Amino acid sequence: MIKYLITILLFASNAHTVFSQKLTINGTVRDAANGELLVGATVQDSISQTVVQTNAYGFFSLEIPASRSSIKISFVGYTPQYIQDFTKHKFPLDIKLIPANFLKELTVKEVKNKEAPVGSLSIPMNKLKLMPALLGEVDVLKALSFTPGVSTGTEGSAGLYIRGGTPDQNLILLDEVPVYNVTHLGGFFSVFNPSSLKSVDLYKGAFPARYGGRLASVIDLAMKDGNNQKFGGEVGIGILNQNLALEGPIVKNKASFIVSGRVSTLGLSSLLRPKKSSGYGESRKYRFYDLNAKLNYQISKTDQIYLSLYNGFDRFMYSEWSANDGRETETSVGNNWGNTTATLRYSKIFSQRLFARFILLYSKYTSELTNSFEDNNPNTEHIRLYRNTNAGVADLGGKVQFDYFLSNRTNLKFGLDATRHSFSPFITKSNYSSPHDDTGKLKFPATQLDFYADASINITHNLRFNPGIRYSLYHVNNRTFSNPEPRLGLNWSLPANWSIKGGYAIMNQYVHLLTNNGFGFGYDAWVPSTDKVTPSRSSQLSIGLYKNLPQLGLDLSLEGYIKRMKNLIDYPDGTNFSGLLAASWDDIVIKNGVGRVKGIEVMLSRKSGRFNGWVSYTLSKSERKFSEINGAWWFPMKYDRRHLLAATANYGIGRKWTLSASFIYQTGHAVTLPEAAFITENSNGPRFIYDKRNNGRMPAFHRLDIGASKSVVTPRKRNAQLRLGVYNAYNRNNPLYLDIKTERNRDFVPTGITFKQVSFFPILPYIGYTLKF
Amino acid sequence: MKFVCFLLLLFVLGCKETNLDLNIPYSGDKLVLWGKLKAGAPARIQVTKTFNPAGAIPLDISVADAQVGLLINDKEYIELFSAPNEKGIYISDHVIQPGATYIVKVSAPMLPSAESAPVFIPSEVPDIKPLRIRNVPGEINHQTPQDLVDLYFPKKQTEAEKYFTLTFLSYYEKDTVSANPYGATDNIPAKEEDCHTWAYEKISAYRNDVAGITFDRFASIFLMKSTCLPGPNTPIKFYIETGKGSLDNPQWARKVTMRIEVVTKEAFDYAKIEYDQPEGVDHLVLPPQRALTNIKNGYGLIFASNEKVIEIP
Repeated sequence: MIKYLITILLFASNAHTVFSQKLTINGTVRDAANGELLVGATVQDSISQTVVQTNAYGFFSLEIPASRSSIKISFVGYTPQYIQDFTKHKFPLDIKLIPANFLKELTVKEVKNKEAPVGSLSIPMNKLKLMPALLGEVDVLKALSFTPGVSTGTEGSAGLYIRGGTPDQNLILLDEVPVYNVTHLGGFFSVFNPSSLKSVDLYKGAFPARYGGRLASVIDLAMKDGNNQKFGGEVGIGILNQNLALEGPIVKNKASFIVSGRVSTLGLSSLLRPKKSSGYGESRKYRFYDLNAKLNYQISKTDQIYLSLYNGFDRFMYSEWSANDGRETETSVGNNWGNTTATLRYSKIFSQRLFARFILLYSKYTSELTNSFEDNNPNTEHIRLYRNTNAGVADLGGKVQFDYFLSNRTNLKFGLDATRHSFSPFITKSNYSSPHDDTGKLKFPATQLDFYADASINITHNLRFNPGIRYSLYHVNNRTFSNPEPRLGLNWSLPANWSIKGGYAIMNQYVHLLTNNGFGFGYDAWVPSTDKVTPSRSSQLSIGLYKNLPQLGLDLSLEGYIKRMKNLIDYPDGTNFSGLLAASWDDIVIKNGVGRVKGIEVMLSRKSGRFNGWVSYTLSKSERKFSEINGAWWFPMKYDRRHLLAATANYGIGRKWTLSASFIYQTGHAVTLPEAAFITENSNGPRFIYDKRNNGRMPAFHRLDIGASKSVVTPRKRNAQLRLGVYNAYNRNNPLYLDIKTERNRDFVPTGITFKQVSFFPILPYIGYTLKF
Repeated sequence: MKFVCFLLLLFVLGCKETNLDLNIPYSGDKLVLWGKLKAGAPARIQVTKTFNPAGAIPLDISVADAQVGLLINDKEYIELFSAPNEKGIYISDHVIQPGATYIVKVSAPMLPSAESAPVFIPSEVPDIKPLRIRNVPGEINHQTPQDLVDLYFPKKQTEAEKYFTLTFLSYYEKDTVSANPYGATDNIPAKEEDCHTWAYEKISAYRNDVAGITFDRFASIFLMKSTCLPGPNTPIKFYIETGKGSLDNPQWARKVTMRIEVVTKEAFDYAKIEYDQPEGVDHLVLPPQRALTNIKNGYGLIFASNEKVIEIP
């Protein structure tokens, strides 16, 4: 196999150069207005019509006939640029595209075109900001749930179930560093601030070999670099949070920064509430914040460094207090969780054909339950007792990746990722004297090393082949797991703008999430694979058919996939991971489960024009099997949704107004229904007999959101945007969870049982205002 | 602030419950057997039947026309008879023997016959040496007058796994009690998820003359595995509420007792599933529990126990 690959690579790379004189040009493509690198811009040779795209760092390399070529550089939303007579230029080229319309969002990105692997897509950030959202909070992850193959759990939750996977099977990267907990407010919206993001890419089918470590998907988010031309920013006022973003040049054309942050309105309101000086009472405080910052410095035309930082936290505190005669006591319980990430990247263009990036990364997630008692007595010593139980994970690592452009027909990506994980599930710290509160005993270090190589080979003008291999090593507790992960992609362009894509990928996952079931605040613990709980593994085969209708501006895609998973874990019925689990989690969970998923996904999208948006439909089935659950028979996964229909549309009225609407329909999620009930003298009410897991369905979930945004120019000539709309426009009672209620008579004797659906979000209006300066 | 209140009000109003008409796969009535075979006490078994878990609960679920028997040590068979005033309750004069094995067998017209798994009656109750330290400061969230009780198990528990329950009662004047102990921070069985569980048991009833209502009085029961106990020289520690009223001038309990009970594994597992645990966070949504049963061809549980009560000096 390897011998054949090498032969094909050599042939593809050398065949052209042997027979003709060629010139290799390279460079980066930026936005002229703000200096942002443009990812996915196309560079086309006028003679051969060969097209290449810029990579994640805006870099391209193209081989052209030396004497007579010109190239066209284009990107959706920008005026194309033509360059010829390359004798006058120095390489690498620094190409700046001028936005076609300054009134529109500047960083317009095309939904991935035919170059993208099967099962991948990008959401343009400008379209995302127009989508109506819960309480007006635009959310990247929720927007993804409107795309095919992606569904949500309960209403309001930001956890994504992608192609039959669970939220912990999604690798979510923010500027190349994994983010472990992605939700604020107990899951209602994600930690990613849209005003700091440049692009969002989702991979769920043929994963490029540079990605690994999760079974279901990769969500790759890139932060904006910051405007290197002029100082600016935006202030946003919303119902749930307030945000501020600032960006500007540090050295014009060379270095820039962007800082953006959000704070919760609920948190601000609790700060404004004065505490009473005497009496007693209780208080609940909730707040969150997140902060993104990025610096970049272009050392030379070939060298650039980037530093990205993210910090976000949620804090919930319930306390009972009393104050009397100068003595104050307070008993508090709380739940805090959050992430900190940092990425230092250095990109270098080594030659016309070789681009490299070197990355140092750090990611830390903590989730903590706190309990404290304070006694502030003027006559005695101040007493403060506390007990905090923490579940966390910290990663420190590095990545190296080389992009080698062998020829227009062939390019290679290869590199390695090395990460040192430190898992600390359920560590208790207390100022009680107790031998059991050993703070260091339960830390699990683990080391992960991944090597990969990905090739893109144009076998003919219309047929491209993407073989890849990733080899992962994972060392934990004196045990090393090693797994090869072959990847394969195929893109075949057909006449009349038809194309076919296919892909195959094997993925391994070495971490597992022990989570609160369903709905609640985030006391979740990440744990590594162990001797008892071996790494999960999936294999997926995808195929897609695509049609582009340029006259109408429409793209149509039809994708199908089958996926198999093994070594999955689940919980025994009624398991409560409440903090006392300690080191025994791998004895408690049910192991060695298998999964099977299949589905068909259709998407019709219109990316530009006054009326734009997309419609998607998914037909899928996701099942699990464990020897200790359901009598070892297959059962539907909890969020197995047979039908999923989503549509989102924007319609521009004049130059100021844009109307938006989103509709979603999902088959109801699976629930386990009791098959009989009984009462005994000891039970004080009915007890239920369950047999088959997930043997029932909740009613379907559907919702329409509508919104409008108005572009405003303030008296001081600043651009602003007013957003208003309605979430759940027809006030649908969507199921959040199933509750079984026992009715009783006046003597408290049980008389009947009813199954009730609990719903949470009624029709909710929203309003938001963003001022740009 | 008004706006935030308005939002919260919207959420409260929006949180709605709607009746669901779900297709329940009810498989027909089966016998349900329930009883604790308590060493030294007469046998008493309740027999009821299952019903459809959706809709009205049948007015009478007791099975009054059953034939109920006890098979003792696979040799002797004793038939139980219906209790005169309690429908569905079957009793016998036979006193449950420690160290014996019992199987409960039940048949009834129109219902499949059912029988319990063999239940072994614990033969002995361990000795415990208590040491009480009075009026100690409590732990977080327990700011009431209380004592610390150290319990020593002098005999090393090296045999097969056993299950113990501990119930502390503090008696005050007018026979009121407080019965809510909690484990000290260094109480190892109380700290380990797999070593312990808490349950509640009705111990008496009292009438509130002002409200005109009779309330049940419950006690907290601590259940633990014998294999989690420390060595004979290391105590397990509990705080018990022994004073009522203000911290400065409490009304102290006149007597404190402890019941130690040896129970079968089913009692421990049942308590673990059935009762909310005081530690940790209760989750709004948990996957459903499979009904714990040791009845073949039916449902319910037959436990066994052996107990003694001591006064803590």
